[in-house]
Amino acid sequence: MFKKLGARTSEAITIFVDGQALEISPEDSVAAALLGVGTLRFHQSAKSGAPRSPHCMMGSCFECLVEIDGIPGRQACMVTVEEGMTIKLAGDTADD
Amino acid sequence: MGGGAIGAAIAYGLAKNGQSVVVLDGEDTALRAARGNAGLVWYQFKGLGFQPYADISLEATKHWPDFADELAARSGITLHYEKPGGIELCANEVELEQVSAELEQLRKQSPGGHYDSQLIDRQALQEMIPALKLGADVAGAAYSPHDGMVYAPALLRALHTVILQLGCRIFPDHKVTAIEANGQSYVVRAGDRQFAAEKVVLAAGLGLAPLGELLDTPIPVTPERGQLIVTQSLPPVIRYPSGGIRQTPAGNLLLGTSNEDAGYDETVEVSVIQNIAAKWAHTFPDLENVGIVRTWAALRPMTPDGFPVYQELENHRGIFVVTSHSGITLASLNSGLVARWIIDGSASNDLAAFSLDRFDKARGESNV
Amino acid sequence: MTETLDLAVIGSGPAGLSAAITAARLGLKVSVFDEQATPGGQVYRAIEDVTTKRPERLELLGTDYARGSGLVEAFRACDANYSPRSKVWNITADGELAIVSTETARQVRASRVLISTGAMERPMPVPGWTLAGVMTAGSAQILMKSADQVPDVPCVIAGSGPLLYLVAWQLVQAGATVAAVLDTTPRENYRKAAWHLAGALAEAGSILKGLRWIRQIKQRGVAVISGVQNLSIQGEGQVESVSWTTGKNQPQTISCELALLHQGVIPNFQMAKLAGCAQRWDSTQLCWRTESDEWGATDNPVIAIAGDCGAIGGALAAEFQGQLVTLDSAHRLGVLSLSQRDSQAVNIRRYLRRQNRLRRFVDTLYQPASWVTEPADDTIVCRCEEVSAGEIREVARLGCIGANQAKFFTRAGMGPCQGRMCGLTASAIIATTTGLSMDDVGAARVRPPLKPITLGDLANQAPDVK
Repeated sequence: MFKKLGARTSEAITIFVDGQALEISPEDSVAAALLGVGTLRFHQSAKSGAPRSPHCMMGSCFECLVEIDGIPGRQACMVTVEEGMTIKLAGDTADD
Repeated sequence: MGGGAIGAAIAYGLAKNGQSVVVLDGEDTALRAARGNAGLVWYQFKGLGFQPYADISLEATKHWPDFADELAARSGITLHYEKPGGIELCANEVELEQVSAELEQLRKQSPGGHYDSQLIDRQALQEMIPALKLGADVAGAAYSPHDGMVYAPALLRALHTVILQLGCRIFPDHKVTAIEANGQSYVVRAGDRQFAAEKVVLAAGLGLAPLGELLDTPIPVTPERGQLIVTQSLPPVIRYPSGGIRQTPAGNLLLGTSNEDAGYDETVEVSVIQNIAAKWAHTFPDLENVGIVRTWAALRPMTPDGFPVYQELENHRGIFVVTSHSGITLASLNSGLVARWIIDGSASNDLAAFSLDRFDKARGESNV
Repeated sequence: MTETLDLAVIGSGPAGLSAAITAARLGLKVSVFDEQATPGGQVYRAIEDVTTKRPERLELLGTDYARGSGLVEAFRACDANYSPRSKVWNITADGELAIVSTETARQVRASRVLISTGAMERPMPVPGWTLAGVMTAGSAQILMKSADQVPDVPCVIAGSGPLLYLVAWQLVQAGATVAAVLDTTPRENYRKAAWHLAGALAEAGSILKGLRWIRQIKQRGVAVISGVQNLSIQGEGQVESVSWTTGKNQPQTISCELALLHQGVIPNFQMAKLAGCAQRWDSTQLCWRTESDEWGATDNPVIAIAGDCGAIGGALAAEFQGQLVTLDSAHRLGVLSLSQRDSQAVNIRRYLRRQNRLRRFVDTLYQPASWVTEPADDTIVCRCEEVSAGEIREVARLGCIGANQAKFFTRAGMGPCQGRMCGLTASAIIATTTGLSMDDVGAARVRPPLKPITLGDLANQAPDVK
């Protein structure tokens, strides 16, 4: 969906998305990082289950909600990635 | 007067019975208890010290399934009414003792010595809520098969829909400014309209005191604030509603509550919701990381003893006052027995205990 | 433990930053709270990263953006305290803030609170707008600024407003594939806007720039279509194409994988409303304006407003308003006399008064069409709860004559976004259906938390855990 314009200027870091390791830029928001690897389904609509992806990138639309480090419902566009971060997509905490 | 849970249910009952009804409702931002409840259809622990209330609560919950079916069929709106039974959670041993004592009292005061709620221990409780681990202090609960829950917004919407379907009218933003006797009937002025009516039902909750003033009849309804936390939508985790926690059809948990004297202030107070959050995070540690979508505060219309009022005014025959903070539970009775009482006075014995003048008597008997 | 301040600033965009700089200069104890990790709000988002790590992008991102660099630098250098990653989730009428920050939840009490929460893009509810791959033009700009990213799939940019051609041009310059720019500016807006001659002349520079952008993107083979109506987006789960009509012609369709929508910006007034400030409907800007005087003062002696969150005025106006609010706050706190306040404010006030008059041109030009503000029945209005325009019309006819009743009856506004994306549309639909004014219909009540917090966040601060 989105690609980097230039080369990465800082050392890449590793985050985990649904268990899979990803190498990304350290300054990116979680949303930007996920869009950068083609993620199109951040969560699903509560009513119909339709896939939803970020809409505003600035914290107003609440469509970029993902689970980050065990905390669900976080706005991915407002959180900067960190080394070792674990992210879970596609909706709310299921059967923990 | 009043298009909330009480007014709308009564209007529906009257309209079903062929009456022509006009509902005068407040403005969008009026104090609407109908918007500020958790949708419980509840029997347990109501009427402590006042058996008639325990009785009608039981009656109401028994009539609710039929009431819900009929209303849903007529309106085409899903009410999400369920009656799995309800639990009164005891967060710790102290609460368990308290609940146990209240159960005892309720048994004693009932004619047959029977109260349909039983204590269940911690293990049995955990089996009823397998998806949420109980916190260390949770001691057990009281369970009754009579309790249930409905999605309150759907109930209100359904009632308004069928009232209109039955050819009656609802006028929002029409506060009543005058009620005048006119021979055997009344003239009611609201907004820039005027209505002639044989009977008038005052069901305006916290708007009742000013209406009482119009009639020189004190109607002592005062606000008691309750606050609630609404969580993000979760998969089904708790099937049984409880006084302080229930899961809505959309999956949100409603966590409450509080009982505050805050006047008419509907602002959410941080310290209160913090305490509510702490209580539930302690009761169900799994909820620690659950997101909060919203909190709110609403005002319960409270009579001096907290129990309902059903009274035809002595000095103004044909004018009825109906109020309680259990408009959701009593909706089944309000649209049935109560509507018929208003029409022809039947079942007035069942409602005799809920007079307004019991407060005068109580005042007369107190030393203050 | 409660922290006490002279001035608490909510939002680190131009208004908040300049307020903090001025406050620090005057010796006030000031803290700026912002939920993001770095200062700059949205208009100057990631300005520090861009300036230090990829300064070559400044040419693409524009001089207006580059201005933020100096502002943020001055902010960093001043004595104001900066609290990033801090979510202000509640505000009381007496200036108490409840905050969750990465380390701990906090309570802050300030003699004066400046709400400078900026603007958000006007939601553009069209059929298919909830599909994955539908974003705002502003979000594409945010990705350029903060992540140095551009779309790598064909995209369509549709709407009306200051970002439409700018973002199209920026994306094209950066090598993205823009299939088409669909301009929904109603034709009559040009005629109506031309009446505001003074404003038009003042905007001459921007207008010429805009025309240059259009020319350049056309040269690159981008289809630029005006008078677009009835926009709709198609796809199975994600964007596959965009359709529209122009005049009485047959609908046209174009394939794409990303749709970027834009209808100008509107105030982010949630915080102000929660604090008890009154909003009034602005019938030109078609948004809720929070009432304040030219010093940003409201009816509440503790709460002040500056920048786009009060009324849309742009980044520069926001910067100057931030200064005005602080000068006035300093006067109220006894640090500046009235004449000192006034003499330091002379030029700013003159500039702002002039800017206000000139805004009419831009506001009139970009006023959204009614098929945007009040979409057809089967269009989703509330994205979170998937409530359609038709359902809102239905409950309005049922007697829901206000935003709160309509929310209660339909659930529109009850989802995670708490009405940010649907509130304006819902109120407009109710107003038209009932014949009431927007001020009578109102906006739904705002409740805390304003930002997502967890039960644990709240519980850990509880005063009396039994």
